[in-house]
Amino acid sequence: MQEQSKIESVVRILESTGGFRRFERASFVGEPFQFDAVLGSSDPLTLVVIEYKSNPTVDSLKRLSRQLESFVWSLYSRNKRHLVSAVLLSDTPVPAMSASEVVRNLNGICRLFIVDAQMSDEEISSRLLSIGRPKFRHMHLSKIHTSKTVESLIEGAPDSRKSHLRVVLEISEKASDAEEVRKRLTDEYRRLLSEAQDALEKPSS
Amino acid sequence: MNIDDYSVRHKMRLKSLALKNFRAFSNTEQPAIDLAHSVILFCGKNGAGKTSLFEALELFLTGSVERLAGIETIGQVLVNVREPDAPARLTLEWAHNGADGATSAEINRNQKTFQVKPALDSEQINSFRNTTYLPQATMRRVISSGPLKLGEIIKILAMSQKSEVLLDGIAQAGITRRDAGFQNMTEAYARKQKSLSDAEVRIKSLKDSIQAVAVAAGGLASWFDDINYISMQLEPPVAQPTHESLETLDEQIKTVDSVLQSKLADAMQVKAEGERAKVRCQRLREQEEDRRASANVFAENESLSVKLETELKSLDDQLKRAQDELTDLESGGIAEKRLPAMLKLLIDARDQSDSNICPVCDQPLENLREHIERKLQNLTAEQSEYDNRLSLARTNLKQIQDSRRQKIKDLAEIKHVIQDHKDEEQSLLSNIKVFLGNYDETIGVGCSLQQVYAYEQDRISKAEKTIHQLTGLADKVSRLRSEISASSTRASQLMAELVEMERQQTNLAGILAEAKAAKERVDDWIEAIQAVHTVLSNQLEESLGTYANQYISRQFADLFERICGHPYWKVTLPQVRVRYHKAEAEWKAAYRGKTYSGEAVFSQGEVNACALAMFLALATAQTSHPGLLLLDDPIQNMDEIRIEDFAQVLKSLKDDLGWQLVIAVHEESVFDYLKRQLYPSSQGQSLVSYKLVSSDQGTIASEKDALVFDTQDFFVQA
Repeated sequence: MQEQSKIESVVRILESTGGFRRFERASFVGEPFQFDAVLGSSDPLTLVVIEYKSNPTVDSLKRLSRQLESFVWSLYSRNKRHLVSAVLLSDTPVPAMSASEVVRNLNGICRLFIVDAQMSDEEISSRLLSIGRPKFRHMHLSKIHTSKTVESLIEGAPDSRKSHLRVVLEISEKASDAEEVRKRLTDEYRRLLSEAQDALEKPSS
Repeated sequence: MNIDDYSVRHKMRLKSLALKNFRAFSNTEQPAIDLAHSVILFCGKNGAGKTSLFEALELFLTGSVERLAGIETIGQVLVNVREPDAPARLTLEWAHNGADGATSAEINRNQKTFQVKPALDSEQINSFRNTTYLPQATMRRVISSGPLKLGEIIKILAMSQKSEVLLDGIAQAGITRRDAGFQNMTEAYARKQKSLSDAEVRIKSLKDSIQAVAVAAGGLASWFDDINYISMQLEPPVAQPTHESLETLDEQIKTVDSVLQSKLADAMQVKAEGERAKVRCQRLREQEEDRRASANVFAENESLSVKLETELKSLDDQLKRAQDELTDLESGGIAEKRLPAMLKLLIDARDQSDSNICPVCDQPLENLREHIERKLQNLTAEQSEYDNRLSLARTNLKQIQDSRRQKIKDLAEIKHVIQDHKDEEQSLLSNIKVFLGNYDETIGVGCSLQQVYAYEQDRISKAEKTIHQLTGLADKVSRLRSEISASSTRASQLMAELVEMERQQTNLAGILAEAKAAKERVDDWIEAIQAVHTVLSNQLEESLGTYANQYISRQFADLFERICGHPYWKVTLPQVRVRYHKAEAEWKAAYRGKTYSGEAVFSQGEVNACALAMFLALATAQTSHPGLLLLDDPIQNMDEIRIEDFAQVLKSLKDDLGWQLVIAVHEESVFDYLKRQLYPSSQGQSLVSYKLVSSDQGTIASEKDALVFDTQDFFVQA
């Protein structure tokens, strides 16, 4: 019962976080390839099989590896294109060396994720993260647009500054690069400065 | 979902690419590379043309190849070196936002520049190399080059190109109130303000001075007293001023002075007239004396005239007598008249006649010659005597005539003198009468020249006295006028200076008002630019915070964990900020809340995984992403496990975002693996793969393998 509960827990996590759904049947290409649970993704390609081992040994790991390899090859030989990921749920920690070797052996055939049954749901979620799909969200953030920014400034600006802000907006609309903006802003600045200088240099007598 | 639906839903969808004699690609005719699929995979060894293919796509999509920018011999670089004389020909077909498009280009070996109209829009081009095309190791270089480059990329995503250009342009312009030109203008303005202030002080000082002059005219009262006194001295007295002011006093003095001058002129005229009358009187008296003195001479002349008349009468008698004598002589002797003729007859007879008869007496003569000679001598003697007598008579007559004429002349002169004397006497009497007649009313009828003389002498004395008095008053008035004039002049000078200063002040105030307005315009311009800069910077910071912290950072961490699957390291993006308008973003490796430099603590493979995670995080953060990824050999330094995880991420991009993926790898095992991993998994998806094969002629895309989604055949149904 405890075994089933743990399997259900992993299934629930994958269903909730990875968008998987559990298949009714556990076998696809023959009895030899029966797993504790089989889940499918929203696309028909991805399959996740879950296998529980209370106390996995090196031998049992090798058996599982061969089973998974055979399963994938059986699918391939039947011209089926499924991409298989496997979750090994164990009550005891799997020796690191053994786990690494098994994962490497299965590389290119099946992705194997070894989960300690003692892990919290959060830890299991994190461990199985890459089985699921990344949550790409289309950005709906608004970009900064000069026209909106400057127009809002114009609305709140005193009258004397409104015309300047309109010139800035016009420069921004017409200029093709920062250098042109710099030149136009500087030219306008020099023009205004020159007006002020001319006014100041008028003879007073 | 068919291809067209896909194109509409996603912004950029590549359809085909034809490459002939372009870089590594062969000059032989070959079908265009079919790109109208969800996933396009290429496999080729080093130098097979994978990068060339991507650069052809970059050229068509963005209009240029960034890696080749600045190369002058672009034609030589882009044309296949095996066939340098043939042009490189390229054609790309695509669908952008549902609209089909195609671009072709032909590049010759000697071509130095060329232009291709880009298929993407400017915003997409701007981020192309950071979110769409991942050249080998580029993102690795980006994340290793410090916070500025990564910040710049996020900035491009967070703000429109125009905003970015404006923000950079404002920063480059560096227009602030610290600018030397602005400082100079402000100082000039302050100087003008001080000038205005000085003018105001000067005006106040002048007004005080004018007031002081008015006060100094404290002699005003005494001046008024003086002028009143003078006014009263005049007959009739001149009206007194009604207001005791410098102006009324000056007016009054002018009036008094005018009256004074007028009276003085009158007195002078009286005196002059008296002087003239006195002289006239004196002269008449002298003339009268002279007349009396010449009375004897007149009497002598009278008697002389009588005497002359008597003598003249005597001479007239003598003349008559002499005339009678002469008449007698001239008319009395016929013989005398005949004498000359006889004398001639005798002379001729003596010289010519041979007769013995006297031609005069017709008597025969023996010796006629002697006879005639004697006769001739007698006649000559007679003739001479007669001539003497006649001459004497004529001389006498002439003398008498001359004496008479002299007497007549003397008499006439004497008479003329007598007449002149009479005329003068008459004239003098008449003049005296007229002259004295002028005084009939003043002295009385029949007054004498002596009385007139005394009268005029008295009048002159009175006039001189008046003149003396008036001159004294006029001198006084003149002194008063000088004093008043000096005060007035000083007051006028000060007033003129005040008017000038006030004019200058008004002018200066006008200039200052105009300059102030111009200065405020400059100030407002700086304020406006700085406001735009501040708002854009703030918005950028806020936007960066949103983009980086709310999305990119999470996505980066998530993708890193998926691709790298690291047991204890996480990656974060803790430093995103704007400094001096430059965006800065720094990624870090984190372990148990402590951050480290990722470059320092990660392996090369892990850093590469970070670069891929960052690239995809940036790509999925871009609002205007074209939905297309060009990945040139992205799997470098990655082990098989990472490749599996990366492939899973790519699958999600294909399935969940519907992006078109163009991937090139050089390992066939990876190529095969990706084909399996990225197999079409829904209706409308398809995958095509090519192998890029090098030959003597160049690269050919061969072994095309196109796969489509088919549930019946390829998948076990649940």
